[in-house]
Amino acid sequence: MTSFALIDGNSFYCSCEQVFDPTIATRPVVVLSNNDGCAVARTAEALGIGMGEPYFKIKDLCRDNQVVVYSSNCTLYGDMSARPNAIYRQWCSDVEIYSIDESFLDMTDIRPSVRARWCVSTRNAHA
Amino acid sequence: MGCTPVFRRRLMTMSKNRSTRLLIRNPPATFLWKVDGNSMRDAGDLIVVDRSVTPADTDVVVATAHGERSLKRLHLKGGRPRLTFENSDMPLFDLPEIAEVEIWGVALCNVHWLRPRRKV
Repeated sequence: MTSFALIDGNSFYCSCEQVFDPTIATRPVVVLSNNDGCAVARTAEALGIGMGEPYFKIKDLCRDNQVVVYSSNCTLYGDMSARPNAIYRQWCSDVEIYSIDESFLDMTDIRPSVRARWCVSTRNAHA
Repeated sequence: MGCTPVFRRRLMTMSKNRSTRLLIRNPPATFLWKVDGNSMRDAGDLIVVDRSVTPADTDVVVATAHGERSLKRLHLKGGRPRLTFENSDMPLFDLPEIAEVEIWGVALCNVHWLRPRRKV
């Protein structure tokens, strides 16, 4: 039976920014769209910041809660997106890049009994 | 010395070009950093940093200490781990008794342009 894995980065833009700034690893982070319009990525759902929330609406909330706010850095996200996809290709023959942080992997050739372990290994693969 | 990451696509470490594999052993884990103008001698150099390599004694590393990030040489032998400046009169980078230092990655090599250029 054909099986696919869907791999999705957690708050991808935020995670990319956190890689290069370890001091914000534990802080809520929000990344804004082009021209700083809306929040397109956030680690701060708990603060009530929804996907696509216009920035002017959450500006005070971010300031009051020490939320780290970034403008988009698309060059960074594109660079970082290629890295896990290269790792997926090391582990799986058929990889479909769906979006900047999502990919589908064909797991049909991987025995069902080892799939869970395979997923964990892929997640822990270096970098 | 200070350093900043570089992401320009032309320099992509993910390049399929075979010749770049000489410098870059593990492309998904390799990043390019540019040496800042703070250090006169090596300013503008590109450093190839590998995050998948375990830091060893005397490695040059990208380290974050006191919230600041820079290139330092790591010393693991002889008791407490220490960081030293790479290019300075000061031999030792002062770390308090309890300090949180993150080793972001290990610098494998340095690309130094002999011909001056305006931008990377």
